[in-house]
Amino acid sequence: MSNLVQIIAPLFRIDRRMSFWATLATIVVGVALLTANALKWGQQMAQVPVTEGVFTWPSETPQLIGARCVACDNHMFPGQSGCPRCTGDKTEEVLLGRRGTLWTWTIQGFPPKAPPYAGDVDVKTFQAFGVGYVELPGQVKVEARLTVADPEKLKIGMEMEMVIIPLTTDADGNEVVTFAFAPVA
Amino acid sequence: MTIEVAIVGIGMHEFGRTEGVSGMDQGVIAVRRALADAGVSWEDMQFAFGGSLAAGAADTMVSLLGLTGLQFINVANGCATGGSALFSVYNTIRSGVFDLGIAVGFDKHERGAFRVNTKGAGLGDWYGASGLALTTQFFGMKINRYMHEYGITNSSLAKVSEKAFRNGSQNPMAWRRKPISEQEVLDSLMLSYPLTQYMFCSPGEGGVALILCRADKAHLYTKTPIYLKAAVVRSRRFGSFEVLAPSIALQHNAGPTVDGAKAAFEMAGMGPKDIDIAQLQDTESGAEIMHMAENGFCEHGEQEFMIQAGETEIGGKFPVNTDGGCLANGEPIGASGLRQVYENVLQLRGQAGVRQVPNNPKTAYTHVYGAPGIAGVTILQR
Repeated sequence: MSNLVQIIAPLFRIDRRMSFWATLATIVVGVALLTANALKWGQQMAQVPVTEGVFTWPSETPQLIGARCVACDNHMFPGQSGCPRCTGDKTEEVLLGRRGTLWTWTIQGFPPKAPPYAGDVDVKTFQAFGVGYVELPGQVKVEARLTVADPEKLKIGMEMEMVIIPLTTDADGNEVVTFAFAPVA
Repeated sequence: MTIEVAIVGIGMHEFGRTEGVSGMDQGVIAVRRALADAGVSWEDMQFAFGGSLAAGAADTMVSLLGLTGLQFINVANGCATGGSALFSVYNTIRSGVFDLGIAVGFDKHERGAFRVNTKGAGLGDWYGASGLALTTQFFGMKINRYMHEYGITNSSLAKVSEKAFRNGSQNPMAWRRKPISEQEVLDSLMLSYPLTQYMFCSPGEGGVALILCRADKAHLYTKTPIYLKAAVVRSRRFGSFEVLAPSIALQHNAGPTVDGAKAAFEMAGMGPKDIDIAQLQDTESGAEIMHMAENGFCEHGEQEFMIQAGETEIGGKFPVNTDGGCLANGEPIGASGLRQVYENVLQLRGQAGVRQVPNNPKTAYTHVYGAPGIAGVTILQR
């Protein structure tokens, strides 16, 4: 890291008398301000996840964030500190696979109670949504919303892929998104 | 010498919706009815276990029943709250600490599907926010997979409800007392595919109290003691498929009902073939079907024939949910498991009136199941 700073720092030195550390501070503050502005701009315009730490976002290929038991390789979702299989107490973060097969499913036909539900609960506009468990090979079966809510189009065993879907709009006008699985076309 | 345990008094407050009567008061009424049934007074109670999910701490009812100084322990164990209270009374008597005690459960829930407290259930806020914190979804998904694997039909789902409402219509304590036809069940609103509105039970209100004593003293209180041969509560093991689970393991485990049933049969020294009638958790009609096999009363898939042939009707080979079950009675969480035992005591005493199972049943079985993956089983014998 210090090598990198020594290479980059001279490029930014306006005054040759500026110390190495002052130069570093200038760079750090500059980068931080740029990042903060970019984030603020991004949030105003775009989507925010329903929570942090459950799926990678923003991402072109979002993944669920799970945990893996260091002792027995059991995969869990969401992440947790202990292993329910071997009772081990050491787990590490693992990104889960994006594709799997539909293990079972249902269709949520009435608006859930709010709270806790954050989506549309107006009986006039509520749209039924699918819910299922998707078996991720070699890892775990995860519960998720499905992008399809038609019993004719859902079959146990079908190929599914993880996607991000809009859930609601928050008080600041941001679109809140959550994860779901969609049939692989 | 092992101390045997008998049920010598039963009391119930009507299930359903009772405006103006608190859940706690319904529990108190159930206690008073149980005391009258056993011919004892509140002062005779040496100890109590009781609980409710949404209607207050059970032990505060002593201010209504009488401040006698008895040992009163609150039980909170989700859908197995009543079963856990009974289990605790049973073991307290078996241990020899006390001779005579009471188990009480009551509740009063808001209308509609249960509002899940995600934090209390150890789940992130995102789970409920995303629309996944509904117990109804689990039941839809479990029976959907089960139908796919074992060939259970929608007709059988509807027949279970039809039977429940018919039995409920013969039970003055039940909430839903209007018979509903198989076709009406199928045509009702689809709530969580493949389950329709009339295939689901609703959270409700009610109270039940049971008085138990050492079996060798039962003759002091009743001519018809009903012996509690087994009381078991089990939690889930790794790999089982349970309600409110953001994920399930690839490895399969049959679940707490299977474990609880095995333990109860072993404790009672009986097998499924020795049981004459059963009250099985029927949160929805698919649950009754799956629980028939999980408790050991048939093989997976055999239910289709049994239901279509009417074997689980009151006059059938193996009557199930003779009082209308959760479907006709609703589910006041704290009281639900005790309601099943109440019904079995009536049936074994021969006091079930128009819904009495013929041929003097001698043994009866109860099973509750609920969040977060817990089962309670009892076996009674005349």
